[in-house]
Amino acid sequence: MSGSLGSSNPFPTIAGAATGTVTRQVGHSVPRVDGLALACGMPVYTDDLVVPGMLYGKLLRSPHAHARIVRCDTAQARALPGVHAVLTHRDLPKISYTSAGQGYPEPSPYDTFVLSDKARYVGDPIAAVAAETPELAAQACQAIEIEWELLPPLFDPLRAMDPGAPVIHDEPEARTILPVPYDPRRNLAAAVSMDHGDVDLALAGSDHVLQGEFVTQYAQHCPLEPHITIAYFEPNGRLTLRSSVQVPFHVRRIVARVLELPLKQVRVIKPRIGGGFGSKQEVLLEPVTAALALATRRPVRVELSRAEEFYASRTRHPQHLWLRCGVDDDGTITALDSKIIMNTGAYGAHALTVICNSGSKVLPMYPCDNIRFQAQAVYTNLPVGGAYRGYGATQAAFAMEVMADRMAEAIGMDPLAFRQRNHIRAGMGSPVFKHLGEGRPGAEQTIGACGLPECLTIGAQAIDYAGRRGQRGEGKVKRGLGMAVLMQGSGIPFVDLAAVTLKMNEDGSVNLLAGATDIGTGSDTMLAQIVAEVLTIDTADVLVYSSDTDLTPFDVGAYASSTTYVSGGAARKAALLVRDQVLQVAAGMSGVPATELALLDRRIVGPGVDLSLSEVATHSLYQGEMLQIGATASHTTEQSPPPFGAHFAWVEVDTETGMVRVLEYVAAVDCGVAINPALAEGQVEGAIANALSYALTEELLFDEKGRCTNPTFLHYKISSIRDMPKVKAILVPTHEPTGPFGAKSVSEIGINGALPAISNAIYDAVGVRLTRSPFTPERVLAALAAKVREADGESNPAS
Amino acid sequence: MQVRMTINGTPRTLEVEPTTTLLDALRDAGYKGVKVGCREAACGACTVLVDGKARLSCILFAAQLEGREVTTIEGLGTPDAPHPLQQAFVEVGAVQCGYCTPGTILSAKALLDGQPAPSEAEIREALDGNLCRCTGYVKMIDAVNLAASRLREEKP
Amino acid sequence: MSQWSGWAYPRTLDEAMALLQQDDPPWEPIAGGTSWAFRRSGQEGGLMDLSRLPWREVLAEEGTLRLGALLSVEELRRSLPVRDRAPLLQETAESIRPHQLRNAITLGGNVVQVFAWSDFPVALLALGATLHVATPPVGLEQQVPADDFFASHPRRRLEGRLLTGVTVPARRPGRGGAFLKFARSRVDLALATAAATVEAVDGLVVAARVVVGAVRGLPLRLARVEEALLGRPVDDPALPGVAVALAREGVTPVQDLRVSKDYRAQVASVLVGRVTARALARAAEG
Repeated sequence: MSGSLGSSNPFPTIAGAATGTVTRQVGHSVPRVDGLALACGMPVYTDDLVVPGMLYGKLLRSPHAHARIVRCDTAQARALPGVHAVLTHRDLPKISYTSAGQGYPEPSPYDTFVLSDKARYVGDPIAAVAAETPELAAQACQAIEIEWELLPPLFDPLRAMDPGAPVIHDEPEARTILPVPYDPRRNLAAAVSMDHGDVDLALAGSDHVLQGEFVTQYAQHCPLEPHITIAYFEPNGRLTLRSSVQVPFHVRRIVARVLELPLKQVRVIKPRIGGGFGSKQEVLLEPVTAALALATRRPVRVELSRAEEFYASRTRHPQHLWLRCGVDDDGTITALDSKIIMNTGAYGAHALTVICNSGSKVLPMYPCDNIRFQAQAVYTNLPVGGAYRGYGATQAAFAMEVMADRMAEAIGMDPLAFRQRNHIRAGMGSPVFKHLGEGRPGAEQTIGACGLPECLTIGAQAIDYAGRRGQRGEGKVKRGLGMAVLMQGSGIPFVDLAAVTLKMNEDGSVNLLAGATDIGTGSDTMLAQIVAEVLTIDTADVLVYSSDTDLTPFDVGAYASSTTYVSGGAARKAALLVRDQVLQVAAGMSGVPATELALLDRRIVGPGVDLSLSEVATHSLYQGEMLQIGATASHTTEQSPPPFGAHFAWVEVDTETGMVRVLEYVAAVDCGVAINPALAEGQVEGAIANALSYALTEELLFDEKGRCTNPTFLHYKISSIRDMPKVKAILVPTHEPTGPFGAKSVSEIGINGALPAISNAIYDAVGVRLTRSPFTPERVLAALAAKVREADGESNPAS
Repeated sequence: MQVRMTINGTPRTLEVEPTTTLLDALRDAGYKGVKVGCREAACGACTVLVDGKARLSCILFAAQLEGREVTTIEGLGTPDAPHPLQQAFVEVGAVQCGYCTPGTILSAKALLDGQPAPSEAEIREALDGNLCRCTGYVKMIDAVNLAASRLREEKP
Repeated sequence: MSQWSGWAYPRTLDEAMALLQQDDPPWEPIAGGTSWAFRRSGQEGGLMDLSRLPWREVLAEEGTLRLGALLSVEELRRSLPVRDRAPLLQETAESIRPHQLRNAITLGGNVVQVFAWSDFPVALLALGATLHVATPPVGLEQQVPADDFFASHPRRRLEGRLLTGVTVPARRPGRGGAFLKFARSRVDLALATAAATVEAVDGLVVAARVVVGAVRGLPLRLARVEEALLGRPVDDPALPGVAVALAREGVTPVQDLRVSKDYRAQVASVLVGRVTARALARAAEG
């Protein structure tokens, strides 16, 4: 059925293949539980709910990159008929917080205010308005008079820590609540380092020392649904926030704190979400929407325009990376020496943890005795970085995997063979795991399952590595093939917590209440499959509700590739508890001890016993024990088993225009047992589509005043279906012993491969190294011209 | 002003401003399957069919629809009785967050109405204005092919 | 938002002409309406929806093809007469994406409301088209050569009149043309476009029109490139290279946020070379 663009999986993923058990739900491509509602356009998203009497909120944003409010007059705006509230910093408690939706205590600095008296980037929200119509709200924003004191802006992250550089966070409230490096006086938002072995000595003794410098761009998530929050009051006066967000429980905690509300007065509901990719792991609109609702005692809706989504929500942090590698002629990597300056923009959301991941999700790939890693995140007067699928690994894998190719080239080894010789394997650990956690020391771990050897073999075969590598062809358009190997994690050890509640109904169906947030990933379906598997029912008999801080148990939310591994673990535990209760009730009904009963194919069977699940569930509610069969289970993790991947890109380069086209892309991924292979493939395929345009076209551009000049899909080009090459996502099954049914994560890893694989492919095609992303035709052509000049210079040393 | 149009087969009269977009007019009239993605004719989430042709409702004024026929996703099927395209998109995993799905399915419907057995290239052409950030489009092609084959079987 | 008083739906040329002569309120013509995405405010008066007017003809006449101004880009792309008699226009239509915009954009709208990246002005200039303009009070039709029509901004030039259709020379043996677009992705506004037509007699180029688009506000004919082709053998392999070199000298793009001027000049000249090569090859095919 697959078209030529289509995925193919030569290895049917059978859950438990490694353990010999047969599964009926897990490991099968069960259709999404919410699929038909979505495909039929049912009103399930935040904005599809019409709340009577709803006002429209709008934010007034700073036109200046760095400026202080001297005077602010809102009288005219307030006086407009139909305007119900105009808020500035003076109307809100001066409480600093981080918009990063992370567990408490957050490792990101408390450097943000709901509305600020100082603008730190073009787009910083400084006032908020609620009015009867969107047009009126816009008019009221224009009527606010502000006198600014312009401050010198800081745009260059490499100059951010220079003596005399403008200080972006001079407010006394800027602080961290964990003992982590933070020095706002020097614009230092976060720092992390590790030094293992003796890097300098190792480099001095290496046969080859290679150094590379890499620069990545500002990029945006581009969820098709922009951020939106609707605040309204329940009849008893409690504040409800219906919001397009990945982290409802963190929203509740943070909104309550910054608005000085009792936590119990706040309820957060996550309906269906139109994509997040990390941009909605941010407490962005909820505090100000809540403040407007409290000020007006009316329902209020605030949404971002597409332009605001680009310049005033969150972005992928741009990084400047330097990587020095030592390699011996036999292929041994002797030392890795890595330095990163990351631009976190005006606020430090996720700054520390992203740079941690730039080390921890990349450096362990190549076990090595000497590793140095120094990373700093600095403030600038540009848009704010945040969580974005890949989370620091994306940028660092670019540097690492291009350098891997260069190391292979230096010793005359094929890049595939070089990786096969050097990559981490099952049973190995890494000093990096111990040194680098997420804002704290990490957890030691040993790789349980590693399907990289198979990923490499299968992927290379699928893209015809042997036949295509090094075959440039004739003419103006050259072809090349490049690759990269990748790893990520599955949740955050000792930080992530997920809980799942189950209750069984008379017909044997089960309500599954999960704090886990399905943002389009299909996690609701995945959780339902796990529960159905344990209880021997159909996935369709599991009724999923997620997520709502009143009705579902806690979950940190959808981030850090945690949902399958951590929330899935909670679902399995809860299902096992429910199964035990079912057997207990059946024991009471039959007089046969539970230990002699088993749940098989929706029936409870044992010596002389054959009861249906429905009989047991009904009995339990109305007779005998009078018990609601149900359970809540919590799950956390001490490990973060990495998924692995091998990516291959076959490209063509037009040497006259510099245009790079990807012809074919293969991603072989080891995500353990795929709970739902179609959904897992979809995660990989979607990540690739995003990664391809990130590598080739996506880049936020700024003018000399720090204004974003292309905040539109017309000029910020993301992959359309026409831009997609032939893509093959291949799931390579392994069995992760610590994961539910052997599963690991799959959502993030797929986005990390395109930058290095395409850069390496361009080198194979035309012999130039692209080290600044995206690889636009103009940059490619400039690199080709530089190569020609270099060659001329070599042949004419006198000139 | 009043605009008369047929929406999903039902004649409707909508009260709009001269500058109201079809997108806002339809959402205000309860057709929430029409999505707001960019309001600048660049994402396709607001795609509807006008007289059978895929159009972007964010750059149509409602007034342009006077006397015309509009089809939104609500006009294709319901979860109880889905259109073969809706069924196929769900079955093969072509739906992730679902936000682009209604517009994409309508583009696919316009294609299949004119070309019951499209090539992969034709599918790519027909879906090129429906941006999706989730799926990578791979399974959408599978879904359109599957729906096309089922529709051909229905109407031999 | 604007202060529009309402909408009108003229169905005949007479009704349209009558509306155009009113100035209280003034009536602004709208066809596909896609350009309104870029100009939403500050308008007064009413909008006259042209879509019910009958200008959708595709008429193959002796040596020419006449096309109604209200044909959508998608209708042009699918039209068999267009494919057979003006393949350059089909290539142009094909390059306009996405499909929803091909359904919306009309031939007339694309050549009247000209943006730097507009495609049909480039194609019509290369074809040496004639544009038909209806003039109040009774809609008398004027014939305007493309060279004049695109010499200044057509919307201003057309003030108070309506474009009803265009006529292009039909393909015939010895005549070849091509259109090419360069953009950042496959669904994008042009960074550069080029179109060329070449006519050969006895293997020698006797006429050539070479146009580059998207680099400035209006499309630009490259006279020096055209002159360099005249009198040369149609299969001379050196000609595309000559075209590139002369285009590189003749094209001075305006500043753009997407790429540098230099890069745009370079890629535009490469495109001119490629489109010239194609046009020559098609002319040589006979």
